[in-house]
Amino acid sequence: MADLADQLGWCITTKDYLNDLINEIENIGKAYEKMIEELKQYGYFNELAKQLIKNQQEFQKEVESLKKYIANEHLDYIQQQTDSISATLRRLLNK
Amino acid sequence: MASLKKIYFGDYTKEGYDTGFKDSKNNLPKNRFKFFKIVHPVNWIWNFNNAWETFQRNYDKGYIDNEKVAHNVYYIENNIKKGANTMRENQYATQLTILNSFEADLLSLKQRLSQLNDSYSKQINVLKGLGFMEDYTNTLQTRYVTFESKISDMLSMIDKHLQTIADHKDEIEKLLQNAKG
Repeated sequence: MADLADQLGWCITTKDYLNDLINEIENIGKAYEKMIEELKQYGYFNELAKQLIKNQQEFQKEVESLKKYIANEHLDYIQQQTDSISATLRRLLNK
Repeated sequence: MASLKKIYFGDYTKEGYDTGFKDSKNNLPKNRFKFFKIVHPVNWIWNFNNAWETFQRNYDKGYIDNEKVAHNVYYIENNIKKGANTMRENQYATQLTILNSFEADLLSLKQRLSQLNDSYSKQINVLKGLGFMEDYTNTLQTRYVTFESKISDMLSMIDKHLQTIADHKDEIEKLLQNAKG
């Protein structure tokens, strides 16, 4: 019982870390876009803006890829375990 | 005809004004005695005083008018130049602020990614001690290797982007100094 509670705690904490990571990279992805828009408003040189746009697109692509990877390969997997532990705990508590 | 009228009345208004204006434009010192080079020989004996009077009075007027024009043009040009420089300075300073702010965001993300990666790594390390099934722990440990590699790739990409931003900041800083100079 104690082991299961620890395992459930582990699952919840780990999912929090991973969700935090996704939020952080998503926020910077938005900040990247915002920075370019602001620079354009202040007459940023086209040549320089083009480099930043290229980098921003590369960043966004990586963000999407990493998000998808974490969601499919880690969060889903840990969620399955969470559901399984929760169900077991419920069964034990109902006995 | 005009020349006859000028000689008859001894009216050197135009000549005086034009000569004064031209001398001032060419940055020459005032020299009203140019009158003696242009005065018609008849006026040496006819209406000389009026000719001399109109010439020198209008010479001064022409000379001063050019100075006013030159000063005004200089003033306007100078102000336009100053205004344009101030605008450019503000523009570049704002661009630098925006770049600095995003650079700080990227540096902060780098730190957070490293921290979260460490946290996940520690979680993976304590898996076995918590009594999870071996299949489960092995799968997650294997997946963590790929995860870590992806985070490392992302950190490298961020470093590359930080370098681009540093290069841009150098460019804008130079432009700002030029606008100030």
